[in-house]
Amino acid sequence: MNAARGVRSGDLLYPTVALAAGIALWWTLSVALAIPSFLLPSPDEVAAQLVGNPRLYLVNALATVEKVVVGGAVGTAAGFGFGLVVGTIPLARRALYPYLVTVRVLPKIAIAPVLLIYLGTGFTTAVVFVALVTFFPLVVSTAAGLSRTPEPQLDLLRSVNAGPIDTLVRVRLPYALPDVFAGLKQSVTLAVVGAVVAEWVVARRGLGYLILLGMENLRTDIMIAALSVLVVVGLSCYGGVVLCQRAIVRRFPVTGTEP
Amino acid sequence: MIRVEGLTVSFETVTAVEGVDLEVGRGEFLTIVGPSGCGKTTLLHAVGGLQEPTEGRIRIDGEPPGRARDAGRVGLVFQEHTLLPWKTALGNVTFLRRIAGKPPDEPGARRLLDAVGLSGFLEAYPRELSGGMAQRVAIARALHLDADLLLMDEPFGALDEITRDELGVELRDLLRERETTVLFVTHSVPEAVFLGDRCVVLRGTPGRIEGVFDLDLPEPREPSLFTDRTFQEWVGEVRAALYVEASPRR
Ligand SMILES: Nc1ncnc2c1ncn2[C@@H]1O[C@H](COP(=O)(O)OP(=O)(O)OP(=O)(O)O)[C@@H](O)[C@H]1O
Ligand SMILES: [Mg+2]
Repeated sequence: MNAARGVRSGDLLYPTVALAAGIALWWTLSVALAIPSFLLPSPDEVAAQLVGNPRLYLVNALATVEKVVVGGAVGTAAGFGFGLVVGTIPLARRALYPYLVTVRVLPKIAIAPVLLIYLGTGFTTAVVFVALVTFFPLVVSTAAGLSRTPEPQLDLLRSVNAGPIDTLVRVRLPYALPDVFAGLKQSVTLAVVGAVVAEWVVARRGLGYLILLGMENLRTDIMIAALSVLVVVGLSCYGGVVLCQRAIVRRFPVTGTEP
Repeated sequence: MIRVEGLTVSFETVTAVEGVDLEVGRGEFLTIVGPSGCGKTTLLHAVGGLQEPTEGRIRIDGEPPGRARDAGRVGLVFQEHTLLPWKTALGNVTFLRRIAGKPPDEPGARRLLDAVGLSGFLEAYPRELSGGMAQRVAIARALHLDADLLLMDEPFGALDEITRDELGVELRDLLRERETTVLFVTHSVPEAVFLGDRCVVLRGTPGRIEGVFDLDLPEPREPSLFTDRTFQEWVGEVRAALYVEASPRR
């Protein structure tokens, strides 16, 4: 990180120190109070668990990533497409937008058991579930983004008789990009949540499953190890979207957008 | 070239302009002044084919405005520059022409940006330009359409006085050789008098034409004009039409 990106060295330094301090405190407490490791394992036990079974964590992390990526890709692509329809066809907008906003208050997690009935307990169910939770943020943000183009800009385009496709692709979509990415960031976070929930309900693999397994066997070290890997997975997915956004914002710098 | 007959434009709750009759000759520079909300923008939009008249009709060379618009004869400049933030100055100028379906002419775009004093900023992005520079790009963009009707809605409204005087002089110079017909809306009476061949005063709600002034001022219009007696008198007359109690309608 360098100053040119607006990140001062302290921005990275202080959180790192805080994390180290947190782990140190955890360590001290577990040793000083002699907490039994089935209640709270010490950091070194968790680390040993991770280092001792690299394949276990790698395989399960990949299983979770697979659901996030496949489900997320399907869900966001569909959401984007649907958002385009809602954002460009006034009739569709008027008819559907109220529902899209209403659906937000429905916890998508509640749908999981319903999917179970229709799709069974396999990979497909997990993917469909992840797709479902990532779908709605993209619809709403894409549709909202498409209304960001300044009115005079649209007048200008109409005054030269611009075609609807040109108007959409060359002007309205670039103006919508900040919203689309805001939606994508929401979606990617939800995708990880969705994948873990799906793994609790249907899967035989994945970090969510591992956490559940740890619980059933009172292995808190496995649970905490899986959780830390999950944090890394979540951050990487989010980071991927941010990198993507940076690259595109560099090409389409719509003012008022910071990555 | 433009003939407006009994134009009335109403929206759901308000009538913006009512009974406007106006004729504009080819190559004429017509300025329109009036208080906020008197329907200047609405009138401009109607002439540009962006707004259907509620009553009356508009003809551009005998055809409805929609035809002129579809033929790419109309150039628009707004108070805000409406440049696309992700395109360079040159990119913005060529973009609109391409969207209008006209053959590309990059050398022409470069010449125009040169003519508005931006030869050093072809590759600059809007955020790197001052308000005045951005507005110059917007003017170059409109001219690059090879439109013969230029509709300008308070194009210098967001600029400081020095810049707007400067730009006004340049704009007039640029247009003198081009036979471009201009409808130029402004809030500034001196600007309206300085730039206009004729000046229309629009006022009231709904907006009606209060007066039309034939500004026989020396050509070319130069900044020295601002201190000229006749100029001052015209400014006085236009002001009077704007501010006096509504006179009986003729
Ligand atoms: N699309 C619209 N829908 C409804 N009312 C409108 C619309 N456009 C303009 N009006 C109304 O018509 C009237 C004239 O508006 P217009 O924008 O033409 O005025 P103006 O002279 O350009 O004002 P300003 O100097 O502030 O730009 C106003 O009362 C405005 O509220
Ligand atoms: Mg206006």
